[in-house]
Amino acid sequence: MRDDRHKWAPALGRKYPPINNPHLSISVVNTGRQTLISGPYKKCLEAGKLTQAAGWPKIVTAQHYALRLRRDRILLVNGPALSDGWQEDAGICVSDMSSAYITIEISGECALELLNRGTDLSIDAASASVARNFRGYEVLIYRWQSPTQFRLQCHHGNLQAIWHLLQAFAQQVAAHQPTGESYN
Amino acid sequence: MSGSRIQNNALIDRGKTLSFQYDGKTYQGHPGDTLASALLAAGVKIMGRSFKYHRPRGVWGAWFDDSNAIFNIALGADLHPNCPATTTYLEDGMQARSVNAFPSARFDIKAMLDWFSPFLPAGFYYKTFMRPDWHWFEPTIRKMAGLGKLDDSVSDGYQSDQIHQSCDLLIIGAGPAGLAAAVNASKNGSAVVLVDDHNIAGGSVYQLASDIENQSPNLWVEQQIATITKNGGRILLSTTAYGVYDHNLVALVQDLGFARAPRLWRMRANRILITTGAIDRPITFANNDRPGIMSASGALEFLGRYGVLVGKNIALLSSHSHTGDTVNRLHQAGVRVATFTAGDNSPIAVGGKNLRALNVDSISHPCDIILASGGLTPLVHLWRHAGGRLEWDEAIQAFIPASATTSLRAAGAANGVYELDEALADGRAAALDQPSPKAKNTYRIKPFLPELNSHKRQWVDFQHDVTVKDIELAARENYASVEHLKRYTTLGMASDQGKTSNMTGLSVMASVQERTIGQVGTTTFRPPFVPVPLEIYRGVRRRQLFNPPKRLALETQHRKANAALGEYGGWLRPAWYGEGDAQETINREVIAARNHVAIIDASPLGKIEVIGPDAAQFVNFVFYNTLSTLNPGKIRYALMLSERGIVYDDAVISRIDQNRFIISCSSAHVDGVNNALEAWRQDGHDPDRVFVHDTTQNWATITLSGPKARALLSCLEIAVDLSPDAFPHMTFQQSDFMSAPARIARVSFTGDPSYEISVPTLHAPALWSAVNKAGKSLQAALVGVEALAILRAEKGYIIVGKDTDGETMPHDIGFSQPRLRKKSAFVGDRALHTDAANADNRRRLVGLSIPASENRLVTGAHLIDASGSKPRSTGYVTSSYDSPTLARPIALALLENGAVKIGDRVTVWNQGDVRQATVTMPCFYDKDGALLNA
Repeated sequence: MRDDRHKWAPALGRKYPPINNPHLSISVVNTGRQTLISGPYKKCLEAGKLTQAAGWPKIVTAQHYALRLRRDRILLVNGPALSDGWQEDAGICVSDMSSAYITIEISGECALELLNRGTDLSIDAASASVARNFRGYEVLIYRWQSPTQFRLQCHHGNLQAIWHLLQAFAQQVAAHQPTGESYN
Repeated sequence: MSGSRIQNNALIDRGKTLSFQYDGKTYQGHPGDTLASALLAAGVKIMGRSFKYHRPRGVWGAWFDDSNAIFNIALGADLHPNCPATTTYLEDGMQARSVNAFPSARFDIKAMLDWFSPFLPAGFYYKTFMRPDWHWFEPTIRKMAGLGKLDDSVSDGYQSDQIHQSCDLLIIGAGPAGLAAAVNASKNGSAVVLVDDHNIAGGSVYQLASDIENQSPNLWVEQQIATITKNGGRILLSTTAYGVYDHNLVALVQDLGFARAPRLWRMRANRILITTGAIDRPITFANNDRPGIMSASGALEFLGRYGVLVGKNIALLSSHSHTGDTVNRLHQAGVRVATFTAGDNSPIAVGGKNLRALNVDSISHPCDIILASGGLTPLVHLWRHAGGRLEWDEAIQAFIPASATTSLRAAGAANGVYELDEALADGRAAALDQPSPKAKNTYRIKPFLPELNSHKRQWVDFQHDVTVKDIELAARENYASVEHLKRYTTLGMASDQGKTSNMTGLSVMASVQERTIGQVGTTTFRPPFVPVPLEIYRGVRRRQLFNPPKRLALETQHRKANAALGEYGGWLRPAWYGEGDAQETINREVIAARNHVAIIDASPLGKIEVIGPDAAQFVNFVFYNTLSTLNPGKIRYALMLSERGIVYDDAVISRIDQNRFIISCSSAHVDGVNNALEAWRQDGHDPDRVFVHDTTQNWATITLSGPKARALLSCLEIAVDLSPDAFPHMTFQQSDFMSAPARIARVSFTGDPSYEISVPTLHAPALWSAVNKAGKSLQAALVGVEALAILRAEKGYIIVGKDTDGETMPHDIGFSQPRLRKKSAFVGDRALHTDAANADNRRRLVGLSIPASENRLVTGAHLIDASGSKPRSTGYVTSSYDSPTLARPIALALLENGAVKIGDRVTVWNQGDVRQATVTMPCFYDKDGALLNA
């Protein structure tokens, strides 16, 4: 039976002040409706009125898009409103997740290097899924708008911890050479 | 040994001088020196003491192959223990002290332990220090064990960076073969990363007596590096590959300077090329551990890299054909060298702290240093980490890489190719994954047979003082397998992990057993290749980031309400609200909940949806209770069992419609339940007809509980018929709250009428505000987790993992019917019908009643049966509280055959304190459920 409130910095809900330095910019953004759809891949896309879901390292540029999480699951972002539950004709199931995910945008010349402090990400190692383990947290990471811009989506309960991690990583990126090369 | 500095070549900066102290005396060196090279140049002979006998030790090798010179080093406010002198670069102001020596390595008061060596052979501690009680000797032995001194202060700012990277080809070792390979691969367009643990690439090129491909070694190295970097290759120096793991993950630790936390690189490579070279193998002969006896390649390395001449009058004892190259190089430096072939004779090193001569065939050959090389040992540790096999090459008397995965390759000396031109060709071919050219293999070695049954001591492991006699003893006592040999003698168990002693030890055991070394085999190599600080695994994971709890969407509101916060089930949740004595506050919350209405943030409760036409059949299979008959709009309590029939979690399950269920499992088990559901979904079920969506964090849940809960709910703008007939206990309804969907489950964890209202998390603050506003007139109270724990215990509701343990089955906690009646298969079914499951004396959930005048029982106290000759535990207290509702202590317990002991008195024992309690049904409040169903 303990009162540990002073041991934990207060969570800021969804309002975190952006982190900016010459190499990086990190901020929480609003992405609107998010819908989890499971079922045959093509049917999931049809429900979202799309033809493909982004994997890694595809760059997402549209405002309405889908992310592929696994063989039979996508996360629809800013898609049409769909009813939760089982859709018999399509053989898919739908759950609204608009309140579950927080989206963090990370951009700058060192953005990938920052993300590489949390997980194994390489432009040369493609993956059909954007799901990653980021220092023990299940997140979605994908490229957004440009080669040096990324989005990381996590569950809101983990936002405080992940934000704290990103702050620590940003400091490490700023403190060290980008690639750590040294030779005689 | 009388070292000195030569005036030309070397990779040090002679323009600057650095000052440092060693064992209290001041010395000078240059940038680029290691502590060992600077001390050798200053003529220092003794740089350590052996672990057991405290014998004086000089350096054996010039890099990680030396295990003798280990220092505690202070620089400014930093004190770091156990720094190898040969791999620690010199910095101005360093103060170094030998570990395991007092007051100095040159003069150590524990040196007299060597006099007792006849009584302290290998394994002596298994036979001594046993009686009358080994604990008597333990404190002294612990004090004597270990090396180095830890600083008491905490190093702030000592934090490792950890980076993931990937590449096409990772080349480990920037010696001749590695550099040649990197050039070839980078020219061919591969994304190459070349790593080397030295701060200057080149490996063994600086030991060469001649040019390499018609260039001086320095120039040749410069050109390779320029080509590699021009073609986009990356080079990481001062970086050690210390482990190879699954899927070509290689762990690299990058040294960033003394007292700076190293950087960890987790490098994922499509291919790995090991060009880690080879090291000298020591030769066993009488007094071969004296200061002044070192490896031949070590001497050349000190000469080439640091410009240090280890001696002027050298005896070279060798068993292979590369001796000529060594002699040439030393002659170039102006040194006299006398060569002897190992194995032809019985050499004896003469001299104690100062080496004077090498006696061979009774002739004394004066020398100030003896260089020894019993052959070259390829460094194959990383090959073995990656699961590669080794084979014994009789021709070169070494274990070399054999079969491995297709993405792993070795080249150069690491591959048993010792001639320079052939090593270069081997590296170049390996870089392009082409077959290696057939080697001419001019290297010749005469197998060295150790002299057995000698009355003179011959050292095998310099650090742990393991001798040839110790290995003979191990063989006599039947510790003859390599793994037993290692553990019995401690051969190879010190900080160098057998790099220099392993092969020598194997050759001794092979001689004793009259087998070949190949037949004896090697021990298993495991990471780390060299000691690495634990900090590289910690990095940012410290303090608040070590294991942070998840945060509630309403945390701001709870803090505003002065909530004490604690970690429950992985979430930071309100424990209680308000100032003052915690227990009194909690008791007030309990009373408020019983008399008025409690407002509880229950958001962490699981909300896992099971959806699809097979959902009903699926949940009926996964859960113990029958769920296929649950109608839409209804809720049922259910247990999830393991396949062993043990209670894993409990949940309330709501059926929304024909194809949709919500599993509201306990907050601590959401991930586990989700994983279990997903695993079963993919096993034995059609994965296209049932899906599992964990929507827990999409929904915030606020629970209203108490006699006024319905009244409070009716004040909210949620259109739901709350009449008891329309909304009975264990039913579910859906509606809206301020245009957002709202789900209301009438289900209770307190025993009073309760409503769990779930809205999308984004709307939680609005709901919280509305509930609090409406609750003011109803004397509603914010209630935290501590009060909730008491409320549920009063009703006898369990917390899985607290009131159940690793043996508890559902019928132990009162749920017998499905086990007896459920016809369809379910997880854990078979285990519920074993003899153990049917035993009479199983521990069952009961209540314990204690008089109001007494203190509550201690959780964990044993319920004992004192009727036999010895008291026996028959169960234990699982939950215990002072009940504000009942004004007396209550407890829940697991008790053998508890169901038939209701009304009995039971003895409760805790650390000598003996009490009495009465066994009751595990429910103290609203036993007939009238209030709950109101």
